[in-house]
Parts: sequence; C-alpha cells; structure tokens
Amino acid sequence: MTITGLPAIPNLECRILSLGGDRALAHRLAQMGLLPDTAITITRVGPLGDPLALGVGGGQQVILRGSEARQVQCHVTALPLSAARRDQQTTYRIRGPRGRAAGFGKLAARGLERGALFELLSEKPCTVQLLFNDVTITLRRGEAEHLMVEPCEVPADSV
Amino acid sequence: MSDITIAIIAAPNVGKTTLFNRLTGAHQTVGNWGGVTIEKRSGRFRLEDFNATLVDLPGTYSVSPTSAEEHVVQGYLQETPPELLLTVVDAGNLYRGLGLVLQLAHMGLPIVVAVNMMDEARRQGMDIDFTTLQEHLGVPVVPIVATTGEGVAQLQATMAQTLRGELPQHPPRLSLPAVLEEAITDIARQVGELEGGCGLDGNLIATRLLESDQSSQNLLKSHPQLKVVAEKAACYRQEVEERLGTDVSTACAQCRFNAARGLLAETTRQEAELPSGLSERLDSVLLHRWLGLPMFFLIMFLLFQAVFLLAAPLQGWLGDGFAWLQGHVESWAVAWQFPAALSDFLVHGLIEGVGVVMSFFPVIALFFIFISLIEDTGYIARAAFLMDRVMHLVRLDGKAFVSLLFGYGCNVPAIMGTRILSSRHNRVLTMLLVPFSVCSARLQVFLFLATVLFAPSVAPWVVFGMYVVSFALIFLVGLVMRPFRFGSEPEPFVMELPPFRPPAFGITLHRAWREVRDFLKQAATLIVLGVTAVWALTHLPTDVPPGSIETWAGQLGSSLSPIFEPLGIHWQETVALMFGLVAKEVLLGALAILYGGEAGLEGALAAGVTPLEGLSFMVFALVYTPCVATLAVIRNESRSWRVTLLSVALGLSLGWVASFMVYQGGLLLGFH
Repeated sequence: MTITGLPAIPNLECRILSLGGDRALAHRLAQMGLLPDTAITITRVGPLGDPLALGVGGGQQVILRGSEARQVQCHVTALPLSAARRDQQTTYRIRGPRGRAAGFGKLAARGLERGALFELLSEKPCTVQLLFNDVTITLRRGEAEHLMVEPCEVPADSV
Repeated sequence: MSDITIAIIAAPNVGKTTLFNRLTGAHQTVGNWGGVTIEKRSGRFRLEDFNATLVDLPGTYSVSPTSAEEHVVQGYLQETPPELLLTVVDAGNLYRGLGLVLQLAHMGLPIVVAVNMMDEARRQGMDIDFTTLQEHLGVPVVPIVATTGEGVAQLQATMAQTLRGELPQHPPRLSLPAVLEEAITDIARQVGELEGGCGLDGNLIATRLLESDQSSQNLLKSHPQLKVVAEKAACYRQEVEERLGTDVSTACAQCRFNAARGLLAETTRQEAELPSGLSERLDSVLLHRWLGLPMFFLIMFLLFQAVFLLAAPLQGWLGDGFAWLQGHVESWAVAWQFPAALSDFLVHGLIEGVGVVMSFFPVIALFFIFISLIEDTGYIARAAFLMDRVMHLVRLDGKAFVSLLFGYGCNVPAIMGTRILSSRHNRVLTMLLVPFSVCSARLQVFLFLATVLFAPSVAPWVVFGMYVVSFALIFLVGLVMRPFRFGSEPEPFVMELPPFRPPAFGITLHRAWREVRDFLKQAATLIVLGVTAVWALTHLPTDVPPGSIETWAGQLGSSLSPIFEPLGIHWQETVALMFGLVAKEVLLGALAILYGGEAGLEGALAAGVTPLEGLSFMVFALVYTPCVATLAVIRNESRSWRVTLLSVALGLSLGWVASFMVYQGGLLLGFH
C-alpha cells in the first residue's frame, strides 16, 4: 500500500519510497540518513496531530512537521487495524497484538492467528467489521487499536 | 614545538561541546565566523609537542551546504584547511555518525574519530568491535566518554600520532553508481590537467562541483581557475540527475549510508531486542497526546517556583552586600571630602543602580542553569515537539516556545537560551519577542499599581489582563513579522528527539556558570553606562531637587508631553519610565520620589492618576524596552546593534500604540 504523506497514525510502520519534491527537505533528510528504503515507525503524534516523531531504528527518533511529512512518499508495511481503511486496501494479514497481548487470545480462538488473511468489510466510529473464513467478525475499536495488520496486495479469495 | 590547528566537527547532540571544553579547559575565545553571526569558539591546548588551537565548528550533519552552519563548515574547511579533523560521533547512533565520517574522510585531511557516549552504549548492551571498525574505516577510531574523561588521554595520544603522520589514513572507496563514478573520474582528470592545479584532491573537487550549484559556487570563490571545469560539471550534473532520478548529493548520501550500514553490520552487536527502556516509558507520559501539555506546564510551573524560592535568599544577601558597600563609600566620600555630586553619583547612582540590576543576578543564573540542565536531559526537544504546531503559526519552531516561556521569569536568561534554536532567523525573532513578556520585575510593578489604583475586586483582573495583552502582543508581532527574514532562509524543521539522559550536573553547572559570568563581563559596560545615564538625566543640574521638573529628565519629560499626553501619561510618569530602563522595579522607587509627599506614594498616586491613566501607564510599562540588562544580552547574543536598536524601536513604538488604544479607547467608552 503506497501513500503520499506520512499519516498521523501512531505505530504505523512504513518504508520510505521517495523524499518528495522539496529539495531542501529531501537534502536534509538524506544527510541525516533518512533515505529511500529506510524503514520507519511513526512513534508519536503531537497534541494537534502535528508534528510526527519517527522511530528510525536503534531507539533513535526524528521529529518531522506535518507540512514536511506530507512530501514523503512511503510504502505502508503495518498499521493498527483501527487505522485501516477499506477504500485504501481491502485485504490485510494479521501480524499480531501490539503491547499487551490481552484480548488476542479471544481472536486466536476464532482462528484469527498470526499470518491469517482477512477482508476488511467496514470501519465505523466504534467498531471494525471484517470477513474471515466467510464469517463476519466485529471488533471494538479498542481491540482493533491493539491489533497490528499488514496491508496485503493479494485478494483474499485467491488464497 | 609547532603551532597547529585542529577543527572539531560533529552532528548536533553528540557531546562535541563537552569534549571541546574538556580538551581546552578555560583557554577559550569567542568570536564570529566571517560574514555570518554564528558563534566561532576556539581554544588552545598542549598536545604533546604541539601548540594546538582547537576550532569548534558549528554542529552539522554533512559538509554539503543546506543550512547556514553547513555553509560555514564547508567554507572553513576549503579556505583554511586545518592540520587535523577531530570528528565526534555518538556510539548509540553510529549509523548517522559514520555517514558524516565517510564524507569527511574523503576530504583529504588527516582525521581522528572519537566515538562518544560509550557508557550509554554499554548500558544498552551494545558491543562495538573497534579494531575492525578502524581497519574498515582506514582512520584512527577512539572510544571515549566526554562527560567523565574516559579515553580522552588515548584520544590525545592518537591525535598527536596522526599529526606526526605515524598512523595510516586510507579511507575506503565508496561504490558509486557507474554514471556518477564516470562523471567524477572525468572531471577529476580535467582538474588534474589544469595549469598549476589548486592543491586539493581531484576527486574531492569533482564531487563538490557535481554536488550542487551552491557547492560549486562556494568552491569557485576561492579557486576561480576552476570555472571552465565547473561549467562542464553542471552539464554532467544534469545528465547524472536525469539518469539516477535523484539529485547528486542525495545519491552520494545514499552511497555513504549504505556503506555505513555495512560497516555497522560487521562491527556492532546489539544484545537481542531492547526492552522498553526508561526513556520510552517517560515519553509515553511526557509526550502523551493529551497529558503531554499539562505535564509540560506543571514542570515549568515547578521550575519557576524552584528558581524564585532558591533566588530569594541569594538576592537578600546581594542586596545586603550592596547596602554595606553603599554605607562604606558614603563614609569614605565624607572622609575624603568628595564633592557632593560625585558622592551622590557614586552612592545613589552607580552603586545603587548596579545593585538593583545585580539583585537579578541570582534569578538570571538559576534560570540559565535550569535551562541548561533540562536541555541536557532532552526535555527541551520534547517541549518543542508538543508546542511546534502552535509556534509554526508565527514561523517559529517549538523550541522558541521554551525561550518565550522563560521570558515570563526573566528576559535575560530567556534571551541567552535562544542560542539552542536552530537558525539565525529563529534566534533573532525570538529575541525580539521575548521582551514583550511579563517578567517577574514587571509583575511586581503591575501588582503594586493595580492594588493602588483599582478596587480589590478588579485588581486581579487587571493583572491578568496584562498577561493577556502580553500573549496577544507576542502572537501579533510574530504574525506581522512572518514575511521578514533575519539572516537566514527558513530551513526544513527536522529535529532529533534524543533519548532522555541524566544531566551531568558538574559539567552543566560549570558551563552555565561560565556563560553567566561571560554575560556579566560583556554586559557590565552597557549596564554601567545605562545606570550612569539615567542618574545624570534625573539628577543634573545639581542645584535642583532630583527627579523634579527642572532636571534634564524633567525637562525631557515635559518636552515629550505632546507625545505622552494622548496616552494619559504625565511628565512624572515619563521620568519614571526613564528610570525603569535600569530595571523595572526602579519604576516604583522613581514614582515614590516624584509623587512623594505626606500622603505617601499610594495616596499621591490614587489622587493624581485616574484608573484609566494608570492602565495606560501599565500597558506602556509592559511593552516598552525592558531594561539595560535585557538590551545588553540582546546585543551579546545577536552580535548586532541593528537587532538591538530594532528591539528598542519596536518596544517604544508598539508601547505607544498599545497605550494610545487603551487610553483613547477607554475615553471613548466613557471611562476616565
């Protein structure tokens, strides 16, 4: 899943594809070692959704302003289920729980284990609906926030 | 014994200044880099049989110029190459550090790499194989801990060996994309064929010329004979950029960092996955989306309380000291039969005036020490993260907010603190905004006047209103200044969020103390001049009562009355405002002299000044030039009289406009 602009979604993981058209910004990022193909995590989002703190590996963090983060093109590798959007991607793969594993056991009991592919049906303000093995499962937003999923380019029915 | 120059170069936040101070001790001089107002610090020390001058280069991520700092660094290395480059990198962030080292190692200068913060790296379970690292880098590498001094002796020995040419320097060849490699080789060949050459490495020149237009222009300034080759290089640049789909400097950075990644993989071992560290747990509270800001304001509130609590007894002692001095000088003056005017000037002008300014010294010193301490912990970067969105509205970054906030304690340390801001523009703009804050001295004046002139139920709102006016002014002036640029083009806001570190108390205290002492030394002249001028204005000629309408100040006050009359400010208050230039609380003392009488200041003021006039006076006192100490520090930090004068002009003109609006607006609304 390729998007332009780093989103203000905590815990989203992505790989930089291009540093964008702003030469000064691209140059500065490059000199700091933030280059195409670098894996980054959005570690924190500022109080007003701006700026973003990026984890760049080894516990190092870099702050980037929203206006500048919008220039960067990236490939999303994982995100919390609560931030997944059906219009961007319908098929996702479960990576596992983030932080406390509480609640994951309940999902695992329904067969939603690591690596399982599912289709995102809808995302509502309080719930997320997904289709797995022809069964519709509804998750509360709180649960969805703690479940990391990977966008998956393969449609679910071909598996 | 030979004189040599060593330049110390590093990315920001890796402990460069700590190492610099450790190597040079107290033998430092501070100046400016030619043409720009970026501080140039250098120090001298003995390095075995060399007389070394250590030049502290501004913090920089690379030597390809994007920021003003990088410009300075590139220019310096090109025009006056030092005998040795000392590079500092953070052991916890070797990847970024090696990116810089690999670029520097190709400059053709002898280089020594100091890997700093080894203690932290060890705590995090990081294992670095220095023998292999040194072998692969081809230049000497020494692990150190700058804060404790561990490894510094070894570093000095290595530097001396390198200077004597005993250690090999053979940096690795970076593998570049073929099209770039070809371009560099061809340009280097053409440089080699040039008549006379130019003393620099051909490949280095080729890279410089290819990198960017700016870089190329920089080189041409000192080596005009390269003009023909530079034109060829520009064509090459276009071709290379088209083929690679990226600009040359990014492509070079990519190659360096790829190499750095390879080196790291070979030489460092990190013990398994790091458990969520203390730093991260602190961040989850301090940078929390909703809790972060309240926590920030709570921490700042406690800090202000601590400063004023600690400063109060110190201020008392200083005050006693000056009173003692005053008493003695007075008795000497009598004993030696000084003329009355001279003794009056010495006792009530100079010593008292300087005493008042100095009574702020504990507050200034404590604030500055606290700023340095929290800067060292990494919390200022967090505050910047929290406040950046708001500050961006006035084209400043989050760090400037911390300086502005400290202005509400005392303007002097707040302006000294602007040196941590990232660009000249941010520094100057923040310096111009800080004087509009309600500092503790102004608060005293407002508390007194509000109590005297307003009903007890209204007075707190008047003081609160002063804060609102102050916030609004800072914001409005910031907005108005948006189109202006001070000294540098805006730079992209990309800032490191360093991990939390316990501050090194001893070193920080020492550094802060030295800064504050330097400030006093440099500001002393201006403070004494200011104090003397105010005394002269309000006490001369000698045959009239001090502060009366017959004195120069009184005459000035009354001749200025056409200007101040529309503000509802009488000549006595105009004179008091002149006194206020020494320090704001002198305002009250001056009012007491001018309005003094049987009724005392309270009664006289209440009788002679209407609430609306008082309000207008308070607004003017808030906005106009804060005090000589603030002016002195603006001059010191900006290194520019123009900025200092601009600050005075802004304060006076805005003060007039704001008071005019308050007074005339109040009259229109039927107040008096």
